[in-house]
Amino acid sequence: MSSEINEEKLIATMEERRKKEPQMKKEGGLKAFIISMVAIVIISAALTTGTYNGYDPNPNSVALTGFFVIFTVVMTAVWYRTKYNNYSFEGNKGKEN
Amino acid sequence: MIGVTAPLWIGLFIGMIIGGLAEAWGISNPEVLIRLGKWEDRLFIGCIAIAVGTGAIVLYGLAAIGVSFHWTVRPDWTMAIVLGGILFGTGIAIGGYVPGTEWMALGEGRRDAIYAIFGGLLGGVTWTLMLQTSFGQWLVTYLNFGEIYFAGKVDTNLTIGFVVAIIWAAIMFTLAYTLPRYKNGKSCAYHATHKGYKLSPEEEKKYLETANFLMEGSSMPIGKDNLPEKVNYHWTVSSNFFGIVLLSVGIIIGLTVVLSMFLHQIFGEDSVYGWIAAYLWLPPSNWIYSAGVVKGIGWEPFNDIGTLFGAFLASVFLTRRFQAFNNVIPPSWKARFGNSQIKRAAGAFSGLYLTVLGGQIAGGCASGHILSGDIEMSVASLEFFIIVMITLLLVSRIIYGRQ
Repeated sequence: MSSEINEEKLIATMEERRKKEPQMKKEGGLKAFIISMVAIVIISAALTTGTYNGYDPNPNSVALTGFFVIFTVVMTAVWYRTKYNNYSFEGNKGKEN
Repeated sequence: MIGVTAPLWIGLFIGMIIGGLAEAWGISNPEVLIRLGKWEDRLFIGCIAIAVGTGAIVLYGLAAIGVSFHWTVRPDWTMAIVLGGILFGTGIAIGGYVPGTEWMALGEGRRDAIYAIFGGLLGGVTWTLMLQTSFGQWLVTYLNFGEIYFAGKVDTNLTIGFVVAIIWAAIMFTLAYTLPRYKNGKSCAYHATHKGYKLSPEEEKKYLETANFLMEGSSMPIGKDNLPEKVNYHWTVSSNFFGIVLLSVGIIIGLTVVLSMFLHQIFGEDSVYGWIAAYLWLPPSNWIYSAGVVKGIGWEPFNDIGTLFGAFLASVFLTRRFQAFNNVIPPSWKARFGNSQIKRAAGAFSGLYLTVLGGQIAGGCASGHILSGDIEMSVASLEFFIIVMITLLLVSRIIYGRQ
Protein backbone atom coordinates (compact mmCIF):
# COMPACT_ATOMS: atom_id res chain seq x y z
CA MET A 1 0.00 0.00 0.00
CA SER A 2 2.50 2.60 1.16
CA SER A 3 5.70 2.80 -0.81
CA GLU A 4 7.42 5.35 1.39
CA ILE A 5 7.95 3.29 4.55
CA ASN A 6 9.63 -0.01 5.30
CA GLU A 7 6.67 -2.40 5.10
CA GLU A 8 8.10 -4.84 7.65
CA LYS A 9 8.32 -2.16 10.34
CA LEU A 10 4.84 -0.96 9.54
CA ILE A 11 3.38 -4.46 9.72
CA ALA A 12 5.21 -5.07 13.01
CA THR A 13 3.69 -1.89 14.45
CA MET A 14 0.24 -2.92 13.30
CA GLU A 15 0.66 -6.40 14.74
CA GLU A 16 1.76 -4.92 18.07
CA ARG A 17 -1.48 -2.93 18.16
CA ARG A 18 -3.66 -5.85 17.11
CA LYS A 19 -2.30 -7.93 19.98
CA LYS A 20 -3.34 -5.27 22.51
CA GLU A 21 -6.84 -4.86 21.12
CA PRO A 22 -9.91 -6.64 22.44
CA GLN A 23 -11.86 -8.87 20.10
CA MET A 24 -14.14 -6.87 17.80
CA LYS A 25 -17.79 -7.21 18.73
CA LYS A 26 -20.98 -6.59 16.80
CA GLU A 27 -21.68 -2.88 16.58
CA GLY A 28 -24.68 -2.98 14.25
CA GLY A 29 -27.16 -1.82 16.90
CA LEU A 30 -25.05 1.17 17.88
CA LYS A 31 -24.46 2.16 14.28
CA ALA A 32 -28.19 1.99 13.56
CA PHE A 33 -28.74 4.25 16.57
CA ILE A 34 -26.15 6.74 15.29
CA ILE A 35 -27.63 6.80 11.80
CA SER A 36 -31.10 7.40 13.28
CA MET A 37 -29.66 10.25 15.32
CA VAL A 38 -28.10 11.78 12.18
CA ALA A 39 -31.59 11.91 10.71
CA ILE A 40 -33.04 13.37 13.92
CA VAL A 41 -30.34 16.06 14.13
CA ILE A 42 -30.88 17.15 10.53
CA ILE A 43 -34.67 17.08 10.82
CA SER A 44 -34.65 19.02 14.10
CA ALA A 45 -32.41 21.70 12.60
CA ALA A 46 -34.47 21.88 9.42
CA LEU A 47 -37.85 22.00 11.17
CA THR A 48 -36.84 24.56 13.77
CA THR A 49 -35.17 26.96 11.33
CA GLY A 50 -37.39 26.34 8.29
CA THR A 51 -36.52 28.53 5.35
CA TYR A 52 -35.09 31.35 7.47
CA ASN A 53 -31.87 32.49 5.84
CA GLY A 54 -31.05 35.63 7.82
CA TYR A 55 -28.18 36.14 10.22
CA ASP A 56 -29.87 35.89 13.61
CA PRO A 57 -30.41 32.20 14.40
CA ASN A 58 -32.97 31.12 16.96
CA PRO A 59 -30.98 30.02 20.05
CA ASN A 60 -33.62 27.43 20.92
CA SER A 61 -33.17 25.78 17.54
CA VAL A 62 -29.40 25.68 18.05
CA ALA A 63 -29.79 24.35 21.59
CA LEU A 64 -32.16 21.57 20.52
CA THR A 65 -29.93 20.48 17.63
CA GLY A 66 -26.84 20.65 19.83
CA PHE A 67 -28.59 18.64 22.52
CA PHE A 68 -29.30 15.78 20.12
CA VAL A 69 -25.66 15.79 18.98
CA ILE A 70 -24.28 15.77 22.53
CA PHE A 71 -26.76 13.05 23.50
CA THR A 72 -25.52 10.91 20.59
CA VAL A 73 -21.86 11.40 21.52
CA VAL A 74 -22.46 10.61 25.21
CA MET A 75 -24.58 7.52 24.53
CA THR A 76 -21.96 6.24 22.09
CA ALA A 77 -19.24 6.81 24.69
CA VAL A 78 -21.23 4.87 27.28
CA TRP A 79 -21.85 2.06 24.79
CA TYR A 80 -18.17 1.67 23.85
CA ARG A 81 -16.94 1.89 27.42
CA THR A 82 -19.39 -0.81 28.43
CA LYS A 83 -18.92 -3.02 25.40
CA TYR A 84 -15.11 -3.01 25.49
CA ASN A 85 -14.72 -2.77 29.27
CA ASN A 86 -13.13 0.71 29.35
CA TYR A 87 -10.52 -0.24 26.75
CA SER A 88 -8.10 2.54 25.82
CA PHE A 89 -5.38 2.06 23.20
CA GLU A 90 -1.92 3.09 24.40
CA GLY A 91 0.09 3.34 21.23
CA ASN A 92 3.23 5.16 22.31
CA LYS A 93 3.42 3.83 25.87
CA GLY A 94 7.04 3.80 26.95
CA LYS A 95 8.04 5.57 23.73
CA GLU A 96 7.39 9.17 24.77
CA ASN A 97 9.86 11.64 23.33
CA MET B 1 -25.28 37.70 -11.27
CA ILE B 2 -25.94 34.19 -9.97
CA GLY B 3 -26.47 34.11 -6.22
CA VAL B 4 -28.42 32.41 -3.46
CA THR B 5 -28.83 32.64 0.30
CA ALA B 6 -29.48 29.24 1.82
CA PRO B 7 -31.46 28.46 5.00
CA LEU B 8 -29.43 28.34 8.19
CA TRP B 9 -29.68 24.60 8.80
CA ILE B 10 -27.69 23.93 5.62
CA GLY B 11 -24.71 25.18 7.64
CA LEU B 12 -24.81 21.83 9.46
CA PHE B 13 -23.65 20.04 6.30
CA ILE B 14 -20.77 22.46 5.69
CA GLY B 15 -19.57 21.83 9.25
CA MET B 16 -20.00 18.07 8.93
CA ILE B 17 -17.91 17.86 5.76
CA ILE B 18 -15.08 19.94 7.18
CA GLY B 19 -15.25 18.38 10.66
CA GLY B 20 -15.25 14.85 9.28
CA LEU B 21 -12.36 15.40 6.89
CA ALA B 22 -10.30 17.32 9.43
CA GLU B 23 -10.78 14.55 11.99
CA ALA B 24 -9.45 12.10 9.42
CA TRP B 25 -6.47 14.46 8.89
CA GLY B 26 -5.90 14.18 12.64
CA ILE B 27 -5.92 17.87 13.56
CA SER B 28 -8.56 17.32 16.23
CA ASN B 29 -5.71 15.69 18.15
CA PRO B 30 -3.92 18.48 20.08
CA GLU B 31 -0.57 16.71 19.63
CA VAL B 32 -0.69 17.54 15.90
CA LEU B 33 -0.76 21.29 16.50
CA ILE B 34 1.75 21.03 19.36
CA ARG B 35 4.10 19.21 16.96
CA LEU B 36 3.51 21.97 14.42
CA GLY B 37 4.72 24.40 17.09
CA LYS B 38 7.77 22.19 17.65
CA TRP B 39 8.22 22.19 13.85
CA GLU B 40 8.18 18.40 13.81
CA ASP B 41 5.01 17.83 11.77
CA ARG B 42 3.85 20.46 9.23
CA LEU B 43 0.65 18.66 8.22
CA PHE B 44 -1.49 21.70 9.03
CA ILE B 45 0.56 24.03 6.83
CA GLY B 46 0.67 21.65 3.86
CA CYS B 47 -3.01 20.79 3.88
CA ILE B 48 -4.19 24.34 4.53
CA ALA B 49 -1.96 25.58 1.70
CA ILE B 50 -3.62 23.13 -0.71
CA ALA B 51 -7.11 24.12 0.51
CA VAL B 52 -6.30 27.84 0.26
CA GLY B 53 -4.75 27.58 -3.20
CA THR B 54 -7.66 25.57 -4.59
CA GLY B 55 -10.29 27.72 -2.90
CA ALA B 56 -8.78 31.03 -4.03
CA ILE B 57 -8.66 30.07 -7.71
CA VAL B 58 -12.23 28.71 -7.73
CA LEU B 59 -13.61 31.61 -5.66
CA TYR B 60 -12.14 34.41 -7.77
CA GLY B 61 -12.61 32.47 -11.02
CA LEU B 62 -16.34 32.17 -10.36
CA ALA B 63 -16.60 35.73 -9.01
CA ALA B 64 -14.92 37.06 -12.17
CA ILE B 65 -17.60 35.44 -14.38
CA GLY B 66 -20.45 36.84 -12.34
CA VAL B 67 -21.18 34.43 -9.52
CA SER B 68 -22.19 36.30 -6.38
CA PHE B 69 -20.59 35.45 -3.04
CA HIS B 70 -21.27 36.40 0.57
CA TRP B 71 -17.88 38.03 1.19
CA THR B 72 -16.67 38.57 4.73
CA VAL B 73 -13.17 39.93 4.39
CA ARG B 74 -12.12 40.87 7.92
CA PRO B 75 -11.05 44.49 8.45
CA ASP B 76 -7.31 45.04 8.53
CA TRP B 77 -7.28 46.57 12.03
CA THR B 78 -3.56 46.12 12.49
CA MET B 79 -3.24 46.42 16.26
CA ALA B 80 -6.06 43.93 16.86
CA ILE B 81 -4.53 41.51 14.35
CA VAL B 82 -1.12 41.71 16.02
CA LEU B 83 -2.41 41.30 19.58
CA GLY B 84 -4.97 38.67 18.57
CA GLY B 85 -2.37 36.73 16.58
CA ILE B 86 0.07 36.69 19.50
CA LEU B 87 -2.60 35.42 21.91
CA PHE B 88 -3.86 32.88 19.38
CA GLY B 89 -0.39 31.44 18.69
CA THR B 90 0.37 31.27 22.41
CA GLY B 91 -2.92 29.49 23.06
CA ILE B 92 -2.20 26.84 20.42
CA ALA B 93 1.25 26.22 21.88
CA ILE B 94 -0.25 25.70 25.34
CA GLY B 95 -3.38 23.72 24.59
CA GLY B 96 -2.97 22.32 21.09
CA TYR B 97 -6.45 23.45 20.13
CA VAL B 98 -7.98 26.15 17.95
CA PRO B 99 -11.71 26.93 18.26
CA GLY B 100 -12.66 24.59 15.39
CA THR B 101 -10.48 21.63 16.36
CA GLU B 102 -11.86 21.93 19.88
CA TRP B 103 -15.36 21.07 18.56
CA MET B 104 -13.86 18.22 16.53
CA ALA B 105 -12.04 16.93 19.62
CA LEU B 106 -15.29 16.94 21.56
CA GLY B 107 -16.89 14.92 18.77
CA GLU B 108 -13.96 12.53 18.92
CA GLY B 109 -14.73 12.04 22.62
CA ARG B 110 -11.57 13.69 23.98
CA ARG B 111 -11.81 14.40 27.69
CA ASP B 112 -9.58 17.48 27.73
CA ALA B 113 -11.90 19.12 25.17
CA ILE B 114 -14.55 19.39 27.90
CA TYR B 115 -12.28 21.55 30.02
CA ALA B 116 -11.25 23.57 26.99
CA ILE B 117 -14.85 24.61 26.22
CA PHE B 118 -15.07 26.55 29.47
CA GLY B 119 -11.86 28.36 28.59
CA GLY B 120 -13.37 29.24 25.22
CA LEU B 121 -16.49 30.64 26.86
CA LEU B 122 -14.36 32.73 29.21
CA GLY B 123 -12.45 33.99 26.16
CA GLY B 124 -15.73 35.06 24.57
CA VAL B 125 -16.80 36.84 27.75
CA THR B 126 -13.43 38.61 28.05
CA TRP B 127 -13.61 40.09 24.56
CA THR B 128 -17.22 41.22 25.07
CA LEU B 129 -16.09 43.09 28.20
CA MET B 130 -12.91 44.39 26.53
CA LEU B 131 -14.66 45.83 23.49
CA GLN B 132 -16.65 48.06 25.81
CA THR B 133 -13.47 49.74 27.07
CA SER B 134 -11.44 52.48 25.42
CA PHE B 135 -8.60 49.99 24.89
CA GLY B 136 -10.95 47.62 23.04
CA GLN B 137 -12.22 50.46 20.86
CA TRP B 138 -8.66 51.60 20.16
CA LEU B 139 -7.75 48.09 18.99
CA VAL B 140 -10.46 48.06 16.34
CA THR B 141 -10.11 51.65 15.18
CA TYR B 142 -6.41 52.60 15.30
CA LEU B 143 -4.58 51.68 12.07
CA ASN B 144 -7.75 50.19 10.62
CA PHE B 145 -7.28 49.93 6.85
CA GLY B 146 -10.73 48.46 6.21
CA GLU B 147 -11.87 45.35 4.39
CA ILE B 148 -9.10 44.87 1.87
CA TYR B 149 -7.76 41.94 -0.10
CA PHE B 150 -4.72 41.57 -2.32
CA ALA B 151 -6.34 43.38 -5.26
CA GLY B 152 -8.17 46.19 -3.47
CA LYS B 153 -11.38 46.62 -1.51
CA VAL B 154 -13.55 43.57 -0.94
CA ASP B 155 -15.79 42.56 -3.89
CA THR B 156 -14.03 44.94 -6.34
CA ASN B 157 -11.46 44.38 -9.15
CA LEU B 158 -12.55 40.74 -9.40
CA THR B 159 -10.81 40.07 -12.73
CA ILE B 160 -7.52 41.36 -11.34
CA GLY B 161 -8.37 39.38 -8.23
CA PHE B 162 -8.53 36.21 -10.31
CA VAL B 163 -5.07 36.86 -11.77
CA VAL B 164 -3.72 37.48 -8.28
CA ALA B 165 -5.48 34.31 -7.09
CA ILE B 166 -3.57 32.28 -9.67
CA ILE B 167 -0.28 33.68 -8.36
CA TRP B 168 -1.41 33.16 -4.75
CA ALA B 169 -2.42 29.56 -5.49
CA ALA B 170 0.94 28.93 -7.18
CA ILE B 171 2.69 30.17 -4.03
CA MET B 172 0.50 27.97 -1.83
CA PHE B 173 0.98 24.84 -3.98
CA THR B 174 4.74 25.46 -4.14
CA LEU B 175 4.80 25.76 -0.35
CA ALA B 176 2.98 22.43 0.07
CA TYR B 177 5.16 20.82 -2.61
CA THR B 178 8.50 21.88 -1.20
CA LEU B 179 7.83 21.74 2.56
CA PRO B 180 8.75 18.37 4.11
CA ARG B 181 5.98 17.12 6.38
CA TYR B 182 8.22 15.58 9.03
CA LYS B 183 11.29 17.08 10.67
CA ASN B 184 14.45 16.11 8.79
CA GLY B 185 12.26 14.60 6.10
CA LYS B 186 11.91 15.11 2.38
CA SER B 187 9.37 17.17 0.47
CA CYS B 188 6.91 16.06 -2.20
CA ALA B 189 9.27 17.57 -4.77
CA TYR B 190 11.98 15.19 -3.58
CA HIS B 191 9.57 12.24 -3.60
CA ALA B 192 8.57 13.06 -7.17
CA THR B 193 12.16 13.12 -8.42
CA HIS B 194 13.34 10.08 -6.43
CA LYS B 195 11.05 7.19 -7.29
CA GLY B 196 11.12 4.38 -4.74
CA TYR B 197 12.42 6.71 -2.00
CA LYS B 198 12.04 5.26 1.50
CA LEU B 199 11.79 7.48 4.58
CA SER B 200 14.92 8.10 6.63
CA PRO B 201 15.03 6.33 10.04
CA GLU B 202 14.15 9.57 11.86
CA GLU B 203 11.29 10.34 9.47
CA GLU B 204 10.07 6.76 9.75
CA LYS B 205 10.06 7.07 13.53
CA LYS B 206 7.88 10.18 13.31
CA TYR B 207 5.56 8.42 10.86
CA LEU B 208 4.97 5.48 13.21
CA GLU B 209 4.74 7.69 16.31
CA THR B 210 2.11 9.77 14.52
CA ALA B 211 0.07 6.70 13.61
CA ASN B 212 0.19 5.58 17.23
CA PHE B 213 -0.62 8.88 18.90
CA LEU B 214 -3.53 9.52 16.51
CA MET B 215 -5.12 6.30 17.74
CA GLU B 216 -4.03 6.73 21.34
CA GLY B 217 -6.97 6.51 23.72
CA SER B 218 -9.25 4.93 21.15
CA SER B 219 -12.04 3.12 22.97
CA MET B 220 -12.60 0.56 20.24
CA PRO B 221 -10.47 -1.99 18.40
CA ILE B 222 -9.35 -0.78 14.97
CA GLY B 223 -9.55 -4.25 13.44
CA LYS B 224 -7.49 -5.87 10.73
CA ASP B 225 -7.04 -5.19 7.01
CA ASN B 226 -9.92 -2.73 6.88
CA LEU B 227 -10.55 0.89 5.99
CA PRO B 228 -9.60 2.33 9.42
CA GLU B 229 -6.21 0.58 9.21
CA LYS B 230 -5.59 2.12 5.82
CA VAL B 231 -6.63 5.55 7.09
CA ASN B 232 -4.49 5.37 10.23
CA TYR B 233 -1.37 3.68 8.90
CA HIS B 234 -1.17 4.94 5.34
CA TRP B 235 -3.34 7.86 4.37
CA THR B 236 -3.23 10.35 7.23
CA VAL B 237 0.39 9.76 8.20
CA SER B 238 1.81 9.91 4.70
CA SER B 239 4.67 12.36 4.30
CA ASN B 240 3.43 13.20 0.81
CA PHE B 241 0.97 16.14 0.80
CA PHE B 242 0.34 15.46 -2.88
CA GLY B 243 -0.60 11.83 -2.27
CA ILE B 244 -4.10 11.18 -3.56
CA VAL B 245 -5.84 11.22 -0.16
CA LEU B 246 -4.20 14.24 1.53
CA LEU B 247 -4.46 16.18 -1.73
CA SER B 248 -8.14 15.28 -2.20
CA VAL B 249 -9.01 16.23 1.37
CA GLY B 250 -7.28 19.61 0.99
CA ILE B 251 -9.10 20.27 -2.28
CA ILE B 252 -12.51 19.22 -0.90
CA ILE B 253 -12.07 21.44 2.16
CA GLY B 254 -11.10 24.41 -0.06
CA LEU B 255 -14.13 23.84 -2.29
CA THR B 256 -16.45 23.40 0.70
CA VAL B 257 -15.42 26.81 2.05
CA VAL B 258 -16.13 28.35 -1.37
CA LEU B 259 -19.53 26.60 -1.40
CA SER B 260 -20.20 27.98 2.08
CA MET B 261 -19.45 31.52 0.84
CA PHE B 262 -21.72 30.99 -2.14
CA LEU B 263 -24.59 29.72 0.01
CA HIS B 264 -24.45 31.99 3.05
CA GLN B 265 -21.17 33.12 4.60
CA ILE B 266 -17.53 32.20 5.25
CA PHE B 267 -16.66 29.22 7.40
CA GLY B 268 -15.84 30.42 10.92
CA GLU B 269 -15.91 28.88 14.38
CA ASP B 270 -14.89 31.27 17.17
CA SER B 271 -17.78 33.76 17.36
CA VAL B 272 -20.04 31.09 18.83
CA TYR B 273 -18.33 31.40 22.20
CA GLY B 274 -19.22 35.13 22.34
CA TRP B 275 -22.70 34.33 20.99
CA ILE B 276 -23.34 31.83 23.79
CA ALA B 277 -22.02 34.32 26.34
CA ALA B 278 -24.41 36.94 24.93
CA TYR B 279 -27.43 34.71 25.50
CA LEU B 280 -26.33 33.41 28.89
CA TRP B 281 -24.66 36.33 30.65
CA LEU B 282 -24.05 39.49 28.62
CA PRO B 283 -27.29 40.65 26.93
CA PRO B 284 -27.18 42.58 23.63
CA SER B 285 -28.98 45.52 25.20
CA ASN B 286 -25.92 46.27 27.37
CA TRP B 287 -22.91 45.07 25.36
CA ILE B 288 -21.69 46.23 21.96
CA TYR B 289 -20.13 42.91 20.99
CA SER B 290 -23.17 40.90 22.08
CA ALA B 291 -25.45 43.12 19.99
CA GLY B 292 -23.28 42.62 16.90
CA VAL B 293 -22.77 38.89 17.25
CA VAL B 294 -26.43 38.14 17.97
CA LYS B 295 -27.52 40.07 14.86
CA GLY B 296 -24.82 38.84 12.54
CA ILE B 297 -23.52 35.40 13.45
CA GLY B 298 -25.55 33.68 10.72
CA TRP B 299 -25.27 29.92 10.50
CA GLU B 300 -22.01 29.67 12.45
CA PRO B 301 -23.64 27.87 15.43
CA PHE B 302 -24.88 25.23 12.98
CA ASN B 303 -21.39 25.08 11.43
CA ASP B 304 -19.96 24.33 14.86
CA ILE B 305 -22.54 21.67 15.68
CA GLY B 306 -21.89 20.15 12.27
CA THR B 307 -18.13 20.22 12.85
CA LEU B 308 -18.55 18.37 16.13
CA PHE B 309 -20.96 15.87 14.61
CA GLY B 310 -18.89 15.32 11.46
CA ALA B 311 -15.79 14.60 13.52
CA PHE B 312 -17.81 12.24 15.70
CA LEU B 313 -19.12 10.31 12.70
CA ALA B 314 -15.65 10.11 11.15
CA SER B 315 -14.15 8.88 14.43
CA VAL B 316 -16.71 6.07 14.67
CA PHE B 317 -17.15 5.03 11.04
CA LEU B 318 -13.90 5.99 9.31
CA THR B 319 -10.92 6.23 11.65
CA ARG B 320 -12.19 4.39 14.77
CA ARG B 321 -10.41 6.91 16.99
CA PHE B 322 -13.45 7.67 19.15
CA GLN B 323 -12.09 7.93 22.69
CA ALA B 324 -15.27 7.75 24.78
CA PHE B 325 -13.70 10.33 27.12
CA ASN B 326 -10.79 8.10 28.13
CA ASN B 327 -7.94 9.75 29.96
CA VAL B 328 -5.50 10.72 27.20
CA ILE B 329 -2.68 13.22 27.52
CA PRO B 330 -0.84 14.32 24.38
CA PRO B 331 2.71 12.81 24.34
CA SER B 332 4.53 16.16 24.08
CA TRP B 333 2.50 17.54 26.96
CA LYS B 334 3.16 14.38 29.00
CA ALA B 335 6.90 14.60 28.35
CA ARG B 336 6.96 18.22 29.52
CA PHE B 337 4.35 18.35 32.30
CA GLY B 338 3.83 14.73 33.31
CA ASN B 339 0.72 12.62 33.57
CA SER B 340 -1.38 14.91 35.76
CA GLN B 341 -4.94 15.27 34.52
CA ILE B 342 -5.37 18.50 36.45
CA LYS B 343 -2.38 20.08 34.72
CA ARG B 344 -3.68 18.96 31.34
CA ALA B 345 -7.14 20.32 32.13
CA ALA B 346 -5.58 23.65 33.08
CA GLY B 347 -3.54 23.63 29.86
CA ALA B 348 -6.56 22.87 27.67
CA PHE B 349 -8.64 25.50 29.49
CA SER B 350 -6.05 28.27 29.34
CA GLY B 351 -4.97 27.37 25.79
CA LEU B 352 -8.49 27.68 24.38
CA TYR B 353 -9.12 30.78 26.48
CA LEU B 354 -6.23 32.47 24.71
CA THR B 355 -7.10 31.21 21.23
CA VAL B 356 -10.74 32.29 21.50
CA LEU B 357 -9.80 35.65 23.00
CA GLY B 358 -7.12 36.13 20.32
CA GLY B 359 -9.51 35.07 17.58
CA GLN B 360 -12.23 37.41 18.79
CA ILE B 361 -9.84 40.34 19.01
CA ALA B 362 -8.46 39.67 15.52
CA GLY B 363 -11.93 39.06 14.06
CA GLY B 364 -11.37 35.41 13.12
CA CYS B 365 -9.70 32.14 14.01
CA ALA B 366 -8.04 29.28 12.13
CA SER B 367 -11.28 28.79 10.19
CA GLY B 368 -12.38 32.41 9.75
CA HIS B 369 -8.95 33.91 9.08
CA ILE B 370 -6.45 31.19 8.17
CA LEU B 371 -8.76 29.06 6.03
CA SER B 372 -11.62 31.26 4.78
CA GLY B 373 -9.75 34.56 5.01
CA ASP B 374 -6.70 33.32 3.13
CA ILE B 375 -8.97 31.83 0.45
CA GLU B 376 -10.47 35.34 0.14
CA MET B 377 -6.87 36.65 -0.03
CA SER B 378 -7.64 38.99 2.84
CA VAL B 379 -4.68 41.14 3.89
CA ALA B 380 -5.71 40.88 7.55
CA SER B 381 -5.87 37.09 7.36
CA LEU B 382 -2.39 36.77 5.86
CA GLU B 383 -0.99 39.06 8.57
CA PHE B 384 -2.82 37.02 11.21
CA PHE B 385 -1.45 33.71 9.89
CA ILE B 386 2.13 35.00 9.85
CA ILE B 387 1.91 36.39 13.40
CA VAL B 388 0.25 33.21 14.69
CA MET B 389 2.96 31.02 13.17
CA ILE B 390 5.85 33.12 14.49
CA THR B 391 4.32 33.21 17.98
CA LEU B 392 3.47 29.50 17.92
CA LEU B 393 7.05 28.55 17.02
CA LEU B 394 8.60 30.88 19.61
CA VAL B 395 6.27 29.96 22.48
CA SER B 396 6.50 26.25 21.71
CA ARG B 397 10.28 26.51 21.85
CA ILE B 398 9.99 28.15 25.27
CA ILE B 399 7.45 25.63 26.60
CA TYR B 400 8.66 22.38 25.09
CA GLY B 401 12.31 23.24 24.50
CA ARG B 402 14.21 20.82 22.29
CA GLN B 403 12.34 17.68 23.31
